[in-house]
Amino acid sequence: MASMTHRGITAQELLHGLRLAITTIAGTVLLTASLPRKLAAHDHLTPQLGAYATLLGLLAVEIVLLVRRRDWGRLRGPALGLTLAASILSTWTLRPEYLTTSTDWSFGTTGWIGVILLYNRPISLLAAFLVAHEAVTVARVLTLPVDRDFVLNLVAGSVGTVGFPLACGLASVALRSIAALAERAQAETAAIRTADAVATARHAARQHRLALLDAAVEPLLQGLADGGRIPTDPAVQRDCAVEAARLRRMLAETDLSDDPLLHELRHGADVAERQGLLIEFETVGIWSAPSVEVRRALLDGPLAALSGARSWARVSVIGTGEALSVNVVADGTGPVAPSPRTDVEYLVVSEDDTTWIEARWTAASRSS
Amino acid sequence: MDRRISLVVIDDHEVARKGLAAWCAESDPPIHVVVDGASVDIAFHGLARTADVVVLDLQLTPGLPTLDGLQRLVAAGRRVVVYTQIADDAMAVRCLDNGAMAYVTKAEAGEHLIAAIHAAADGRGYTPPTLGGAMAGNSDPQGPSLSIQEVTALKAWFASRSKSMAAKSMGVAPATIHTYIDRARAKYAAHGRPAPSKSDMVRRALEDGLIDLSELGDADRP
Repeated sequence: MASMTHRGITAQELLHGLRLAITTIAGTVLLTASLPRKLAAHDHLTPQLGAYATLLGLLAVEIVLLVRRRDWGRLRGPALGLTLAASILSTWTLRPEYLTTSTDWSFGTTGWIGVILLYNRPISLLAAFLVAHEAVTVARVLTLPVDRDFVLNLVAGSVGTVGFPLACGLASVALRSIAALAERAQAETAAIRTADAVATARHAARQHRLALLDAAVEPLLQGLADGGRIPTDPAVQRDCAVEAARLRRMLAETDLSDDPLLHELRHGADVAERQGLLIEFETVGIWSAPSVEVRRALLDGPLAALSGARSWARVSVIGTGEALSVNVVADGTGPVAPSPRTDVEYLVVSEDDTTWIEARWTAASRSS
Repeated sequence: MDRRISLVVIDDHEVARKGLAAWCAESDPPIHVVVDGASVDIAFHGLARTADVVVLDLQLTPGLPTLDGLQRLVAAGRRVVVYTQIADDAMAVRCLDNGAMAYVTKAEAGEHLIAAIHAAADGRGYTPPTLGGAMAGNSDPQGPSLSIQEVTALKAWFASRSKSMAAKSMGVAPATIHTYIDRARAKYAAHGRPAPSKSDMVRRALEDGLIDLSELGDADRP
């Protein structure tokens, strides 16, 4: 599946290929023009050579821009002006009888330079340019006494002068829209693939969390369902409170929060608060967010202890440069399993009916 | 202490002032509230000028708490116990730096405010759990340098609110926890900008043998 993405042609590449084709056509037309072969036919050779050199120069600039994958940009306007000037110069210095014949080299070539300059602009601009170029010749023809053959020659020649470049321009419009479609399709494919990957990862994370929960929740629910465990039993009530707090904490794990540790701790403590416990919450110092595994280890012990509180509890978080600790002090405590990680220590101190549990993550394990 | 302690109470809530006066009357040794009111100015008139201790609410007007009142009182050589609604560790440390004898949140006032007033009258600092946590969690590199035991004791005191549980967690006697906390408090008194109340606390800490001069390397900084 993934290898297909690399084979998709991008709009940029498609448009570059189009420009290469147009430049090749224009280059071929210009280099095979009749002027070099019919130098003797011209009365005024200098303006003809000047016009030809101008178009060759523009072709050379196009080749440089093409190789560098740059657009004409601000040069486009002056280049169009030069092209039309070359057309005028060549047409108006030609011997009248050669107009629209094979000796009138600029009549058939100038339009292609126009296509080079305007292939990626609105088609109306190219059409206007071609009409202007055609008008140069028509204007000259109108100053002369013309017969029917001459007019027919002009019309037939115009098919090549205006028709072919315009057709090429129209083709480029079609290709450009295909390129845009291809780009959109590719973006959609990428978006779908990303959404797929996110959904897969999210599903895996959810499965993992459910597996963690199942280990403890399933036997509890089964016990309640088959009557093996009685809801009035304080131990059962405590187990339920612990699992409810864990469930809330795990749901909070996927929330976006500036401080995920505090966010998850508040969710866990909230369950205890709903059971009528008076909870005090205090934090001091600063810390950077630990990984989700470290957060689980830091919170599981204190939240389990919290589930055994009878009437009040004090929850605190202390961050110093060396350590991060989560503390619960309460009147009574639930059973606390050993810490699941070696870098998170649990410390339990009891006095009279007050118990303090500290889960401490030490600096030795923190990457510096 | 063989004489009555005289006290000025500055709080904008009359109920809080009367409640505190009632606690003071029951304390041993007794504390006599000479005057109470809602403005810092009352501490500078009549009998109030010679009162041993001033209890100051940081938030006298609605809005952000300010240190102006504390600074005026400390500059006049008064011993001030800050008493506040806000448990803000940065604010607690700034109050110490400005020469407050103690920082007591209203939540811990019942257990610690009277003790803080007694200590202040005696020229000693007092460290309730919230202030201990603020000192332990202070990450300012310019702050005083505390030993590992001092930081551990402050954290345990903050988290457990019990010196005997803190002592058990560290495997030491409760008196040792006291010493660690008081030493840390003395280091804060000796640190940063000078104030008469801070000099009193450093002198008492030296007399009590809590610290020696070599530990006050930064005490004479301007």
